[in-house]
Amino acid sequence: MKTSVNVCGIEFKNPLIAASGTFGFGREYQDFYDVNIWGGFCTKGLTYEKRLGNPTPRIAETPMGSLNSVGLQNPGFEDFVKYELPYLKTLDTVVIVNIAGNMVEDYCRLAEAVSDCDIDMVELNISCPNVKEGGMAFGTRPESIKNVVGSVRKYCKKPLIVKLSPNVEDITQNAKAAEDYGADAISLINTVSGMAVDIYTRQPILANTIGGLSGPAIKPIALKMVWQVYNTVKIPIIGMGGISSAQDILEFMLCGARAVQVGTYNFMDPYAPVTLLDGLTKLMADCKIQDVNTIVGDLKAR
Amino acid sequence: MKDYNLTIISNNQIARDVFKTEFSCQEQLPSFIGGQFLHLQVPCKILRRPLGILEMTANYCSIVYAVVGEGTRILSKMKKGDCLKAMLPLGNGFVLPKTYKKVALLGGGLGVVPLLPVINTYPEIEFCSYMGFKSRDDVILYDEFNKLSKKICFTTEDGSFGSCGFSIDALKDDLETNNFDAVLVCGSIPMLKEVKKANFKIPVYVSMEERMGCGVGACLVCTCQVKKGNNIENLRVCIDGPVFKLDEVAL
Ligand SMILES: Cc1cc2nc3c(=O)[nH]c(=O)nc-3n(C[C@H](O)[C@H](O)[C@H](O)COP(=O)(O)OP(=O)(O)OC[C@H]3O[C@@H](n4cnc5c(N)ncnc54)[C@H](O)[C@@H]3O)c2cc1C
Ligand SMILES: Cc1cc2nc3c(=O)[nH]c(=O)nc-3n(C[C@H](O)[C@H](O)[C@H](O)COP(=O)(O)O)c2cc1C
Ligand code: FES
Repeated sequence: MKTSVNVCGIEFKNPLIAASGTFGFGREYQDFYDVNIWGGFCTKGLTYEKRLGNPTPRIAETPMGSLNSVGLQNPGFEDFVKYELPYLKTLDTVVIVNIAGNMVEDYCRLAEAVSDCDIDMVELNISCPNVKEGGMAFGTRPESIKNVVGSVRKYCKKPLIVKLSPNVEDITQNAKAAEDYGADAISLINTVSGMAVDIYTRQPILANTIGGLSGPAIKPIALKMVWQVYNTVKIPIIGMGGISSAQDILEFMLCGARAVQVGTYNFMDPYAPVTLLDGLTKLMADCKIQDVNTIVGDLKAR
Repeated sequence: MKDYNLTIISNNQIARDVFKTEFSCQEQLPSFIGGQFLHLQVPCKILRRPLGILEMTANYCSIVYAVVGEGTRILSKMKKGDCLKAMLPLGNGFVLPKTYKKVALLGGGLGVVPLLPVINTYPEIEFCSYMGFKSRDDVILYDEFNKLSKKICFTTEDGSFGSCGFSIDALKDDLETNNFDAVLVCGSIPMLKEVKKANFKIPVYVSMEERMGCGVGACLVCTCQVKKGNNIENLRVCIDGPVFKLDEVAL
């Protein structure tokens, strides 16, 4: 049975990638399993300068979902190189560094610096709903996507994944803009913008008032967008949003995802990749799928 | 740290809106330090609930919790024989230097829970327990503290059980006459602010609460601002805490 996949010429031993922001810089789950079991993993969103993020509470539970407003807390590039990179180099899995910024220049500077590190891919986060100044502002309109992706492309020497926001008018135009201006792959979706309220205090639950919704609640939105983007672009797609079972993985792959990311499910099951991979091989056997690549985009349109 | 399969052996109300759940576990459970917690899966819920470990031996563990929202309400309705998963033991607990001889425990409401197991963690230290509640219907773990502490003082705000007033005032009265090496505190934010203001001249360790996602340090939702030298750092309550030095945390 074959579960390995190839995205932009990079070999993943299986299609599972830990999603940015839910897996730190890859150390925290070592007590539970060998993190090299993942096909790949994406770091927490990195900015050039250190960031403290938003005030707490930063998380709330909503029906079948979780709402967060971490706000890109991260150690900044210098500390990343000093404290995280040496560890990342010891890993035997695909390492993707997720990058963010306030201005196009920030993204370019960081993309260049990160490209010189011993990592495998760069994921451009232009879709974070939790920081005011930037993030999503770049990711909502095709014009700004062209600008930021086109600029970063010149500085990024590693395969460039562009991560798209679902909080947009037309996801296909944004995907097309990213492809046209140099993205090697597209990942989607980032969290869906949302809010939760406490009737007793009459306040929003999150200190930041609004946050990003993740988990099973957003899966139908994500599947739709993956399918739409699959029908629009030629570059590989990495799908995510609410994946919490082997069946979910196959659903995303049928809609056109070459690989998938798993975020919130890590909070539900600290052995997430172990459970999911075990389920995937069983389900593939049940469904008589010899090679997981054969189902990518194989959705029979009605 | 592991995710253990726990089976409920009893689930009883022990005070107003407060329940104690006892679990058995087929696997051998690890040892723990008072102040460490578990991250409990609740049916129909996406996020786990962090709860202090009250007792834990080879194949047994227990928690005490207030019903405050949906997750704890579901938990309080579960029956003997029901199974749940829990990641444990999480966090750093109350790690005390070997030189300590006498320590004061200061708790308010459900904050008394993580303090009780500290007594068994350090058999060589003498503990005096100052525990405060709103009213007699809210009092929990009196017998347990009474059995294990050198001195005990339970207070209620309305005087319906123990002394009338706040546990912090009872402790203040005793500070002069006792040579405490430290105070360990767990309670509401207003209570912690009072303790900070009181400026005891000895080390004060606090167990903090914050909403959690992963429980193991990976998601950064549980941060607490902590002073390190002249810098403010965002530390993670789940893994860098939940116990911090009180004078270092920004409340
Ligand atoms: C380290 C630690 C130890 C704790 N120990 C105890 C204990 O021994 N006994 C006890 O009664 N309570 C304890 N708490 C608080 C307990 O976690 C919350 O009361 C509980 O999670 C509420 O869940 P709910 O589903 O009923 O509430 P809801 O409001 O429905 O919960 C929604 C979400 O918010 C989180 N949440 C809500 N209130 C709190 C809170 N005060 N702290 C952290 N997360 C919260 C929940 O975990 C959940 O993710 C502890 C908290 C922490 C951080
Ligand atoms: C706590 C938390 C933090 C996140 N931080 C980031 C981040 O720094 N950068 C990013 O691109 N996405 C971030 N995300 C979004 C996830 O990578 C993912 O796109 C989203 O959660 C949907 O997947 P899921 O439903 O499997 O969690 C974060 C999500 C969560 C829950
Ligand atoms: S709960 Fe995830 S870092 Fe603390």
